Formats: sequence, structure tokens, C-alpha cells
Amino acid sequence: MNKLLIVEDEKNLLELYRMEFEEEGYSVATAESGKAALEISKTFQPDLVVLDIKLGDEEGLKVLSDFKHQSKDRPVILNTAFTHYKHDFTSWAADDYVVKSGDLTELKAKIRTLLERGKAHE
Amino acid sequence: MERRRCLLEGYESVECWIFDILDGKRLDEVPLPIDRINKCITCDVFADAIVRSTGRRSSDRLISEAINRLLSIFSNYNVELGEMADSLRKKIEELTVLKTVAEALLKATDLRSGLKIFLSGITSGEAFGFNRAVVFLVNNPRHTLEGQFGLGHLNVSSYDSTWERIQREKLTFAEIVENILSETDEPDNELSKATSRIYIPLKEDFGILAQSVIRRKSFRIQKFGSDHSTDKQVLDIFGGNPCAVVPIISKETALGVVVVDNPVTSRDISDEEISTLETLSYMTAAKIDNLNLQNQLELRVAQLEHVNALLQDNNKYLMETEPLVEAGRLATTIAHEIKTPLVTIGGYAMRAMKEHRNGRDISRDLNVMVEEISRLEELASGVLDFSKKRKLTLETLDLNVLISETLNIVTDKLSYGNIEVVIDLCDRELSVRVDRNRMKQVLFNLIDNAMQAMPNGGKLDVSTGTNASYRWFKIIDTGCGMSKETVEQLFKPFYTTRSAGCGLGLPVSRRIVDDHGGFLEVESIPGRQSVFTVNLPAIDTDK
Repeated sequence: MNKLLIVEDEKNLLELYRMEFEEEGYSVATAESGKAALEISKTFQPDLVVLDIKLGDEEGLKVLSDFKHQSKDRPVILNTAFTHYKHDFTSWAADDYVVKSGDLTELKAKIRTLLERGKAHE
Repeated sequence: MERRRCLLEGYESVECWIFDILDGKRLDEVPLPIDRINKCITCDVFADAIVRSTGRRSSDRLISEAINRLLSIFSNYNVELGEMADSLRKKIEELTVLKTVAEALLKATDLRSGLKIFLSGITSGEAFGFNRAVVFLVNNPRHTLEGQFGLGHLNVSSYDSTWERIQREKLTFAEIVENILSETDEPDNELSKATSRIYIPLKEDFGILAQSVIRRKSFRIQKFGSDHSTDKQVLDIFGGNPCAVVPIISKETALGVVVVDNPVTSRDISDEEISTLETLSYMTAAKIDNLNLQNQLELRVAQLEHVNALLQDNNKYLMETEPLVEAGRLATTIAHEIKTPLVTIGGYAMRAMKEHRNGRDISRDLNVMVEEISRLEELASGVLDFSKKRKLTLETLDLNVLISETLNIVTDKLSYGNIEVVIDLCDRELSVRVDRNRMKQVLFNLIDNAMQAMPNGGKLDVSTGTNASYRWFKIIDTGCGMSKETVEQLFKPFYTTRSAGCGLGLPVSRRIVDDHGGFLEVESIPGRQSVFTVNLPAIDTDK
């Protein structure tokens, strides 16, 4: 069972993600802040991280690089309200990028693709 | 033979010459004491000798011869003194002329008039009376010496108009200067035209003019010749005449050179004249320096004025566009604030549809949607509060009463939050003109913030007071306090450090206080306390 770690500071949204992805068959851990997520990640050892980043969020980008430090092969998807990060050099460290939406189809598809690609590499 | 000592004080060691003569010594054997002869004449010995000489012819003759010789020595001295007085008088005249030219130079407002006054001083009969003078200036970027203009005639046979006019009208130096300054002097004469065509490279082997500038040295030339390898055009003007070349030096740098000669009077140029020319050149150089500085200053002032104009334009542009930029920023922030609940509502709506299809309970999904929708509503009212200037319904009331009323409403909430309230109201009536509900909103906002700062309880100080022009109320909490950075951001819409609230409470509060003509102040010590003070304009209760 693939393990997802989802970072999101909106409680309701986080709960939605948890329910939806568990129903997809993932083992899901959630965190409301980047700092908490990094802690959880050490014990939970997720296969993929979905990271929420706000506009001008230096801390969010720092968390992204910290995740990559923990394990450079583990994919990280940026999930953000802003299209801005598509062009942000520092966010290129992420493996993929999703503009936040109530429709989780795109996010689900990208998670699947990245996890399958990871498996093919192994 | 008895020798007599001089009777004069200080000359005791010398012998008296009068006695020597009276004793029959030959006159050429007797050294006449020129240094004290005026005293000898008043000496008793001299008077006695004259008296005693009666009847002694030979000594009579000798005495008269001695007197003659003394007189001739005196007259020689006199001539020398006269010459010295003449030379002094000349020097004084020269200095007077220099002073006149210097004063005239001071009046020059530009380089050209300065140089013209300089040349007029050199050529005016009243002043130095040279027949011709020509000036060249250094062009630094091009490293050349360039002819500017001249005063005098080009050829002895062809007097030009300026020169003629000066000669004819017998203009005084003051009048010439006046003409130059009022720019009514004649247009460029032939000499000036010829001069302005001359460009000499500033190298030693390009003739005496270049050398004078490079070595900063004056030259007196009997005759310009091929040995000086001087420019052909310079030769055409000065060829054949004795002339002087004097550099115009300022602070060790030669700015140019002046050339003078006397083709009409054929007068020789003396060392004294060259030294006077040098003095005049120094004065002119100082003036040129001054004018250059002034030009630079004027240029700088013009540049500054230009920059200032640009800045003002820019400022105007910024003033015009700033509200737009601010509006854009606000719109972005609002869009983001709206987006999060929208995404959540959308997500739960889709989930609810799916659950519904599967016949599951969707009440939980609907609850979240309702919650998020009320959050959107709150946000919308906040934005409206903030952006719309609502009309105030003003009434005169006592600030103390308003505070008490409001605190009554929140007492339960505060005690539930384990917060002790300390009220310290001013003992006199504090009349203010306020919109009761809007001001209560401010109080609620501030108290709400204080509660948020003290999640584990604490003390809330509420006080009122007055100063010369304001009535105030203060809310002090013993909460977490704020950093300087947070205080700076505090009134920016949507800035929030906590999960609850949309970040519009303080911007709205400040807007309300501003609308009342008052102001809201914040002071905070991180980890200890925050103080919010609302100042409202005092009104005169006597009226």
C-alpha cells in the first residue's frame, strides 16, 4: 500500500484529502504545517508528499527543499492556489505541480503517475 | 701736531676732519665723513673754523672746496632719490591700473567678456598701452591651444573698426569695459578673425606659444623666426615684431596664453612689463576659474532642476497609480481568501454527489460546506466594511458609558476565557461625537484580539482618559505581544497570525477610527503585552 503525506493548513480540506485518498487505497498521513510534516515524515516514511504552498511562502519552499534533503527520490507535488509557482525557479525542485481545486481528478492522476514511474525505476 | 677727536656722540674714536684742514692738511688727504656731515655743519668746531678762517686764505679756499664737494655729493643723492620717487610713482600708477582692470574683471559675467576686459586692459592707452594683444585658450579634450580673439589691428596699414573707434572716440578704459559688459562692443575685428582660425597642438615642438603653456613660462621674443618652428598663421600676425608671450596660469595649470606686441610704436617690451602682464594674467586666470566654477554650478543647478521635475512627474504618476496598485494587491488577496473556501466547498460537493450515488450519509459533507459558506459570507462583509466608507450616524455620548455598555456584553465570554478584567475609567465625563455601533465594533475587535493573544487567560486592562485635544480609551492585554515586524503588518488587510478570523478586524477598526477624525495607536512588548489606544477628537461640552 502506497503511503501519502498531505500537508495542508485548511482543516476541512485536509480531511477531504484524507478521506478521498484513503478511499483510493492509499495509507494517508496529514500535517497542518511544513514543520509538523517533516517530523511525521521521519517515522511515516511516505512514498509521496503533497505540499500546499502559499503565495510568497518562503517557509513552504524551505520545507520543499528539506523534503528533498530527506529523500531526493521521493516525489513531492506542489498543491497551491497560485499559478505563480509554475515559473518559480525554487519550486522546480518539486516533481509536479497542481493548481488547487475541489476536483481532485488531476491531483489523483499525477500521484498515480509519479508513483508508477517510481516503481518502474526500482 | 695735535690731533683732535670728533666731539659727536658715538664717534669719539675718529679724528675731526675740520681740525685736520685747519692744521693745513690737503683736502684730498682728508676723508669727508658723509655719514655725519649734516651734524658736522652744526658742530661748534665747524663754526669756529669758519670764524678762525678769516685771513687765512689757503684754508678759506679749502673749506669752500670741501663744502662744494659735499654739496655735489648731496645733489647726486638727490638725483637718485628723485629717480626712486619716479619709479615708485610709476609702480603706484601701474598698481592703480591693475586695480582698475581687476575691478573691471570682477564685473565680467562670462568667459568672453572676461577675456575682452583683460585684453582691453593690456591695450588701453590709459592702462598698459600695448598696441596689440591676442589670447589663446587651452582646449583640454583636444589637447590644443586655440585662438580666441585679439585687440588691435591686423596690419599696421589697415586699422580695423574697433581700434579706429577707440582711437577716434578716445574711449576711456571704463567706457570700453562698459561697452564689453553691455555687449555693444563692435563685432569681431580682423585680428580676432585671424586669431580664431589658429589651432596649435600642445606639444613642445609646436612653437613658443605651446612651450609657454607647457612650461608655464613667459617669453620675450625679439623676432619670431623659423628657429621657433612657430605656426605659420602666428608668424603671419606677429612676424617681425618684438613681442611677449605670457601664460595665463591658475593653480599650476596654464589655461591659455596671451601674446602682445607694439607694431605701431615699435616700443620695446621690458621685463617689468612682462612681470605686470603676468600679474594681470593671474588675475584673469582666477576670474576664468571662477566663471568655470559658476558655469559648472549653473549646469549642476539645471541638472538638479531637471531631475527634480522628473521626480515630481514620477511622484504624480505614483500618486495616481498607487491606489490602483493597492487595489490590485487587495483584489489578489481577496481572490485567494475566497479561493480556499471555494475549493473546499467544491471538493465536498463532489464528494457528497459521489456518496449520495452510493447511498451514503452526506450530512458531514454538507456541514463542512455550510461552514465554509458562512466563512465566505464573513469575508464578504469584512471586505465591504473595509472598502466601503459607510456613513456615520454620529451622536454625542460619554466614552465611559460606551465602554461600560460594551464590556457588559463581553464579560461572560472574557471570564469563560479565564481573563480578569480591570476597568479604570476617567472620573469626568468624556464627551465624544461617535457612531455608537461602529465604535462598539472597534471595541469588540480590540477585545477579541486581546482574547486571542491570551489563549490561556490573563489580565485585560481597559481605561479611559483625556488630554488637550483627544479623549482616549486603552485596551491592554498580558498576552503574547507582537514583534516589530508583526506590528508593521498589523493594519494590512488579510494579515493574520492566527487561524480564526480573516485578517480584516484591525484594518476595519483603524478605518472606523480614522473616519471619526481620530487615530489608533499600537505598542507591544513581545511575550509580555500589547497596548491599543483609540484617540477620538474631544468636543466642547459647554456649547
